[in-house]
Amino acid sequence: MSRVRFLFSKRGLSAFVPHVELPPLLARSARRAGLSLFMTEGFSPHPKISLGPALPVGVPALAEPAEIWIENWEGTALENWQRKMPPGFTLLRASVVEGPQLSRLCKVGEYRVFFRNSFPGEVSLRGALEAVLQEPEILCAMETEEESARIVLAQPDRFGPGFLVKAFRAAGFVEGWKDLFILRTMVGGWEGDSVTPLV
Amino acid sequence: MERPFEMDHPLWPILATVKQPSRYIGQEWGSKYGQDSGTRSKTRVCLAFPDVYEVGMSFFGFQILYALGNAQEGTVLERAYCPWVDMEASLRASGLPLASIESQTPLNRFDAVGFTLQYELTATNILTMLDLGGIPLRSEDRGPGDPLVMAGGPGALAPEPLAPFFDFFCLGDGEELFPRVLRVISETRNLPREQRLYCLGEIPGIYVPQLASCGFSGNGVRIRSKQALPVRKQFVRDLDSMFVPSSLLVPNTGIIHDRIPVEVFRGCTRGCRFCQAGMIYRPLRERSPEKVVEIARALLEETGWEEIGLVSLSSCDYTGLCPVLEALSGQLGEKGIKLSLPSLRMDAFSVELAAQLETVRKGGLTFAPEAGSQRLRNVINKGIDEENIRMTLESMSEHGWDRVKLYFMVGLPTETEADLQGIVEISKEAFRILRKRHRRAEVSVSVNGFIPKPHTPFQWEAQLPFEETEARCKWLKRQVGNPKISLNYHDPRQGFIEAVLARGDRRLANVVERAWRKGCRFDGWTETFRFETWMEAFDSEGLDPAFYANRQRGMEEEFPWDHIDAGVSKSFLWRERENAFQERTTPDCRAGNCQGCGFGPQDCTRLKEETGH
Repeated sequence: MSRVRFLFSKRGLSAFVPHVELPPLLARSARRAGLSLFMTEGFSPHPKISLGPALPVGVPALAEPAEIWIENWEGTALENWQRKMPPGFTLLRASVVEGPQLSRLCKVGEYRVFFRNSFPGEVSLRGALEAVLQEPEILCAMETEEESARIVLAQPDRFGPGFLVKAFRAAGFVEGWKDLFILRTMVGGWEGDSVTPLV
Repeated sequence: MERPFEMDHPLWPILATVKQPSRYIGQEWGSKYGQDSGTRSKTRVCLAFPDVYEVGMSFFGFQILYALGNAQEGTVLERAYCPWVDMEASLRASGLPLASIESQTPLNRFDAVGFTLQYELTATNILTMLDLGGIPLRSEDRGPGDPLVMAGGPGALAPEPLAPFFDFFCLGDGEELFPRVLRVISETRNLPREQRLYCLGEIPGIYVPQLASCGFSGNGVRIRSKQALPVRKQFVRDLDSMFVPSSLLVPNTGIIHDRIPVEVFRGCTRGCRFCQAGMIYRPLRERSPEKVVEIARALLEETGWEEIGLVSLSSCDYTGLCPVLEALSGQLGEKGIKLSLPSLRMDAFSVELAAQLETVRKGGLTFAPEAGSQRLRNVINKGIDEENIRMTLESMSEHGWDRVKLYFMVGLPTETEADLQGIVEISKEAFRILRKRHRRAEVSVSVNGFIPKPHTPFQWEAQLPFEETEARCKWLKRQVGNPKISLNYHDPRQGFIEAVLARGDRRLANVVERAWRKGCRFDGWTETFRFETWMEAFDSEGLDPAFYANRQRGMEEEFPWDHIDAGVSKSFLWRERENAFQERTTPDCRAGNCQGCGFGPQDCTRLKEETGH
């Protein structure tokens, strides 16, 4: 049995597939590919799958980490599996791993934030971001352009896109999700200046 | 930073704000994207389900038609579901049309749009979908550029209340009708609309309401048509050689029936007298166990679904059940695949089966005694007795289940207080039996008001006034008096509107349209149902809903569905009605003699065996 860590992207309208629906989606596609899934023991056996930090619906992702336990993982498994994925989902890389559980490795999330309308008020985008991200201390890195920003936030399981939108709304910069667009580019470790991929 | 392509999707800002946006995105495994090059060389049909996605995706009929239509050369099938009220408001506010899931094509740009009429209370949703899709609501207002709008499903067998909204109705099994319909739609593309309707009306099983006129006299309706009447329901004779989808659409989000449906038989001969499905899907046709196993294995491989449901109107009655379970269960168990039966009969055999299938104890079991006394169960021909009920409960309790859900109807013909008292007794007895072995025993009782339906032995009967149904339900609730027995009932006012539409005539179309214009949507959903608005609509049209729902009809009355031949004869239905009032049961013809329901030996396997023809 192999514990397989893999990265996948979730693009286009598939970004609206809720996080909680991903385990059955991944399990069904893996079964279609002929993979034999390791089932958990106990009262209600189900395929053993671990996901990275939850993403709200409507946030596309370029490289989400996840793990799945497979009985018959071999050389061409990833390609076979990819052929059976639903539209919008792409499996990028995979490797058999050991060691600490996935959730402990997901230290930061990297996001691109785009504002649909020109940014309001006198403050610069950078000033605004700094203002809303002061408390708690989770901002690891930030680069801004006129109407977009690249942000790296710590503790991705607690502070993600939902937190960002809430903070922007509280500060009066946006009314809600319809005014901005967030993309998660990566989830991984943090080495002080860059995000390290998990696969 | 490069702008992500998603930002330019016109629906994105709307999807980011509506409830459950995944309802609107498609993206399922098995969905057909990029089939249409935009050249108009292909015939494009949109299957339209008049309820939300998770209900529509659970409807096996559209899985079949989607695969069947897309397998025809030169035809492209796509899908649309009814947007929930928040989505409808957002689409209207943004000036966006209702479009297909696959290619985002507005409904009015298809060659044809096909609805299914599974439930009377989806009527206003059909108008929402037509209107948002840019299609004139009424057949008479549609022009050469508009799609042909068709409907199938059980509602098509009593089509008059919705007749003005449809160009034609398909009566019977889609496997039999759909390929012919698609061919004619495609071959007549360049003909005038009226001529196309004539051509469609030539297909057996197609009813074109525009060719028909209704004469109202007294209480009855006489329908005359340029088409030959009655129009006869078409059905597949042999399920083993019938079209079967080689794959299915696999949803990315939880749906109501989240499993592979494998049909084991079509039709039902149990003969419950209130049950429309039990009458209109006759004759009984079984699929061979070998074929069931073959289909199950193939679909499992193709879809990756974690559960298979052996579906039919009463799967415990399937004669091939044992060989199918034997062939499948071991193999599926190894892979962690579950096998389920959607409805359980009330007998020890069914409980044994359920115990065999349920490797994991979860939830409880559900049964439908339907009526509280033996007398009333005989009236409705529900072939179970008190001993069956007791044994079933004992058996499930022994097997470890501590929860049971029981379905009953209130307001059945001839019902008395003693029958209602019987519901209370059965519920208490159920609790007592389960409690003997289980400290956490729970009984949940679900009560529905009886709704007389067309093509059933009770099609002549009056529905109780909804106030009386409600009073009886409240009485039941008071009588139960045990917090471990919960009793819930559906809003009898919804059942009233359903009853009106079920046996209505063409005059009701104005009421449906008016109710919709006044804001009625999703009338089958408690949170959106607006009874007062419906009553205002009846009032404005000068029609009395009680005429349709609460009136006892005479034997000779001509019904607004008499021009539709569902296969079961009116004389058989009347005979069954007479048996009901004499509390005489009619045996299932599988176990006894032919009851002469209306099918000949060429159509009915059972009769063929009996007569040797």
